[in-house]
Amino acid sequence: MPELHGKGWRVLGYFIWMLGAGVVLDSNACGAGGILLVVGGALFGYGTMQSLRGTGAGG
Amino acid sequence: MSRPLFALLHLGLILGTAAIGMRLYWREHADADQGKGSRLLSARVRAWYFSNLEPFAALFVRLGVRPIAITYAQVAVSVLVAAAYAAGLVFTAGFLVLFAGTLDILDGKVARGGEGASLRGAFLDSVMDRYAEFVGYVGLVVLFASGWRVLLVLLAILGGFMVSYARARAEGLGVPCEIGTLQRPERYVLLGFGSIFGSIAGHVFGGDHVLLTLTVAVLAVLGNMTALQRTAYVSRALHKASHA
Repeated sequence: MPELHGKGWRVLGYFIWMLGAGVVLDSNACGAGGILLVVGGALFGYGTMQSLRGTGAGG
Repeated sequence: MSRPLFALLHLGLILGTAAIGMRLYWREHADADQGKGSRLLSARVRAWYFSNLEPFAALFVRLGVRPIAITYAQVAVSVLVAAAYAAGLVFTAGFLVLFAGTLDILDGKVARGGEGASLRGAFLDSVMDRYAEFVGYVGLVVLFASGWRVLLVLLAILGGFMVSYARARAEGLGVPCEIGTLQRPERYVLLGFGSIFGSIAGHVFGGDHVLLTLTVAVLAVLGNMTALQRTAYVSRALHKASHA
């Protein structure tokens, strides 16, 4: 999925992170929320790294 | 369970990432044509948000995803919005409102980017948008079921529908009508962030959905005001045309 390089992964990570935050804040399912936060954070970091290395498409 | 520290941390993260993202975008695109904007959502903010969706639009176009499939996904997400509000999951509902709004933008982008733009698609998109908007509000009716706040939700529904109806009727009569304070993107943003910040405020200060109630009241007032604005505008335009 070359289209997602940089900015795309960052945005996807942010959305998953926000969903995790919702799960943690709205319910007692901290485990599931925590997993979403970690996955979202990792994708956000991955996208940011790609942008910083200059390989991102418009990132 | 109340989690004030986690809620405050997220308030900072939401505001911080948005501020940094916009700043970086505007620095790179200072001279770009930003398109149209409104009082609540400036052209620059819209341009920044649209730019974040370009990678997904390009991906969907390459994969051959039909725009109408994204429209149906928007309706499905709106059903989840209703379920989340009905269950009292206000932060999640707010996030899903923003996600549904994002899909609403994305289907248009994919239609324009690929070969899926058609009159049939535009018509189905408009009809499905109305269903999606209504379904989301159903969850709020359930959340506020036994109180006076249901009236505010009903007024907000009326406002949203009348804004769209006024434009559709005006365009049917040949008068372009894209004016008004509270158009659909503004409604998504207000309800989405009103829910998210309302949930955060609830974790920090307590209270019974105070900020969410205020948001729905603003939607009810501004929505109907926009519908009346459009009515007056089209009425003047038609009067002028018939006396020209």
